[in-house]
Amino acid sequence: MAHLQLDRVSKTFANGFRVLDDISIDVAPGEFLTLLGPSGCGKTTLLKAIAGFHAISSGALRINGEDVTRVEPERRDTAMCFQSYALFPHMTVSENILFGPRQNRVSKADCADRLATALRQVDLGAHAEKLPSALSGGQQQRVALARAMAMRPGIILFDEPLSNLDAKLREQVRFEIRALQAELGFTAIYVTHDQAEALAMSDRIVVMNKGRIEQIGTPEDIYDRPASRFVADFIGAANILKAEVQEDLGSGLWRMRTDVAAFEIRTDKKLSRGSYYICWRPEDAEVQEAASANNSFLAKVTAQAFQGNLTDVILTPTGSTGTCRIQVRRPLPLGTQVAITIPPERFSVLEAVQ
Amino acid sequence: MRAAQPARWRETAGLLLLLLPGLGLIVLFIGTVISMAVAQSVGYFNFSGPSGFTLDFWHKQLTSPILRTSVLYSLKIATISAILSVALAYPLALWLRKPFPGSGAISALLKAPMMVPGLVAAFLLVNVIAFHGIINETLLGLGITSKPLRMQNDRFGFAVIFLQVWKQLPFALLLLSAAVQSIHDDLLNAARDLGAGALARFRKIVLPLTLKSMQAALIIIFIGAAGDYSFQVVAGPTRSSSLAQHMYTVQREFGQWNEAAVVAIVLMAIALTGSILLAAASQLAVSWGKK
Amino acid sequence: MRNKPLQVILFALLAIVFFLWLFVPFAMALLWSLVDPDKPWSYPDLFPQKLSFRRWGDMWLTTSLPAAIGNSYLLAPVVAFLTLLLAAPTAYAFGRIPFRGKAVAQMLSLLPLVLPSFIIALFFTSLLYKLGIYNKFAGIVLGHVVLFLPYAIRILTVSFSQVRQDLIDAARDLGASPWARFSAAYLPVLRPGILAALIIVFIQSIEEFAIAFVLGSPDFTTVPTILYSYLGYNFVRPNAAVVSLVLVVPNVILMLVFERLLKSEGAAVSGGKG
Repeated sequence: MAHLQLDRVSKTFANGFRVLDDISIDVAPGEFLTLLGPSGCGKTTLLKAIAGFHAISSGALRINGEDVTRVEPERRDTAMCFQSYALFPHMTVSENILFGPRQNRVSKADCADRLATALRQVDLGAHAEKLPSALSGGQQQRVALARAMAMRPGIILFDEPLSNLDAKLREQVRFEIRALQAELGFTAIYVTHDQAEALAMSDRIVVMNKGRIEQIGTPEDIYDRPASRFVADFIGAANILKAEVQEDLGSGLWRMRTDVAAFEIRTDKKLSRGSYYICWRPEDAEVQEAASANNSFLAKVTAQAFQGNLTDVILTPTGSTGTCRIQVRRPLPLGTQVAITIPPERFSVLEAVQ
Repeated sequence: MRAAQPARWRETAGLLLLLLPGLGLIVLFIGTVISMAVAQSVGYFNFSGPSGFTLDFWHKQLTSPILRTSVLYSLKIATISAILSVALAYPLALWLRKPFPGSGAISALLKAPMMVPGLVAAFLLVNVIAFHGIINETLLGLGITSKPLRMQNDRFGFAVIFLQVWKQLPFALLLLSAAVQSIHDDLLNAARDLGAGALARFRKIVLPLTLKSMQAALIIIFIGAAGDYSFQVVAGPTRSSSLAQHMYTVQREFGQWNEAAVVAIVLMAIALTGSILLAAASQLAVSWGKK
Repeated sequence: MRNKPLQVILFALLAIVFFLWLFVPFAMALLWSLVDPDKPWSYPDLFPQKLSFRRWGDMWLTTSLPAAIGNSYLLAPVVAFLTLLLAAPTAYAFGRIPFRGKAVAQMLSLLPLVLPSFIIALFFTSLLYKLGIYNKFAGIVLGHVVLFLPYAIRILTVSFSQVRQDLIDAARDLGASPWARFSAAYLPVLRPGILAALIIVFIQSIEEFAIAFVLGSPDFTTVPTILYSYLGYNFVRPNAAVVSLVLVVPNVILMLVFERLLKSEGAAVSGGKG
């Protein structure tokens, strides 16, 4: 269990491209932190910088308070689970798992103990003497995990470890990784571009975009109170509108005008005059036959897709050219007009319109 | 099923027909040439005098001290050349694994000797190391030595080994570069992450994963150097002869086809067993280094 | 940017390697070939007293160099085309037909590479004498073809294996004749391989020494055997320099053409893949 601090970490390539821009994160011991973002956002670069494979241009990395910025990867208290698994093809499962402990001159007895523990943890005892090529993708993934755990590192770094598995297996391994983390207590830094994975596994999520941090928060924070259009759009579906501040109604309630309707919106933010982006989630809409007084607008059903457990409906608000998206239990008749109400506390206020 | 039978037969016949002009010719030719050597070594197909089975020629050659020194000399040159070429090629292959500015030019330069025919290479080297070569001229000109050093036809065979390495290094580099480049970055990063330093990564990851290519390079260089004639004649020691040189001398100067055939078979046996031993030794060394 | 000093060191290293590895030896060869026959270059002169092309002219007029060049450059194309023709069917089988024992067959096809060439030369000669065949040109052609078949088979096997079955099937599906099928599906992929095999075999044949020497001597000369005659027992350095350059320069040019060809053709082929 280790305490990891990233202090204003930046990295610039020789061609001037800034792949990491002023990243500061404090990861608590035993925390499961996910780096989430689209490809090219710098999340893998950041992970490799933590492992030590990439030198950073400025800033500092500290593990348990000790500056490791210039420490070689082989001397850092981190172990990585590679996206490609990176199992040594000429070594058996046991040899792969024992590679790290042997390299670090762990005693024979301790090696045997670590091997037995790791094999039990990932349930691969029957395959200990097989070569990686004789294992399925899921088994290889577990060997990679066992190999990292056998190092007994303070921090395990996961580089999209589940991206090569099929959907069913992925869900199962998610639970396994979390259970192992709870059991062993290592700090986990987990890179993914899959928002569902991030929401399901993390204690906290760092949303990254273009080398910068967009938002850090718990999964609920990130989903319910996105800080920017990027976050709102990247995680789940969101209806984003431009809204002009009209009136401060007091105790966090504001009246704002959009081209769909005027809404009362509850927010912690202190707003100034001008326009902001606001958003609401499709599942937060309440559908009625007729418009009620507050926070509602009329719209026509233009398209829908039945998903089984729910139905995605695309609406065109009356008097507007745009569309919005809601989720309901059962399909609505196409072309019907419905009234949509969104409670004030379901809105999120994002960044100001420039 | 019944209809498939003749089709299967026709397929096989077609395949054999395809293999005949290329592979067939090779097997027939090499088979005949080796049989010829074997037959002549035991007294058949004589050009003069009666033919008939005899082990006289074997007896004569196997008791000849020249054959013994030639075997030892060729073994020495071939082993040293093969090991040296591979030992030099590894660091170069690792250095050139990742492209960097100028790496293309460097590898092109290193591979250039492949384009230079062996005899030309020998001549070029002689120009450099001869009594009147550029090294001696420079040393004399700078006053470091008072008379030219003897480097051509040196007693040990350094000049021949140098030529072999000059000519074969590019080949070893080609094989090892391909092997080293096919090792995924993640694998080396993983080893690093698990605490392996540069030497440990080389011993435990790079060597085992490139063993096949290294063995191929060792075998081909060993066989080439064991059967060398031209480098030996131009730059080798005047006192000892290589096996190929000995074989040719026996045939050309003494007209002894049968004894030359014995030397040929000895040479083939040396090339075969030597290269197999070298490959086995490298395998052992690598698995020992993995520990 | 941080690596600037390292870069400078690397380029210095590159320059030194180039200088020692290639430039000095070849410059010496060029100098020696230009030594004037009347003013020998001997100790303690650091440079030849007089440079001229007279040696080149003399060699052309008074030695068998022209005949050797003629022989070599007649042998090489004949060997290259024959080798290509004979290698193609085997390469097709190796590249496109799965069969039992293919690995063994492919190993066997490498035999000429692992057998010391002087043994092949000597006992091939002995065989020809026994059979009463004294046509040296034909003998050397046969020897070279067998010696270089492995290269051609190897190169063409790779080419054949890169031909895409779906293109062949598509051509058949669209009703193409066998020739149209060949030119649509096979030829574009095979062309660089064919060129590569031709050039490699050509170069190898020009350079080959053992068979040309053992079988050809004393009357049938090629460029390498004439070079050997100036290197061996009667060492005539300026003559050897001239022949060395005659031997190596065309090969280097061919090799550069070959690399260029391979690069552009390779790009064209891989660009065609979806």
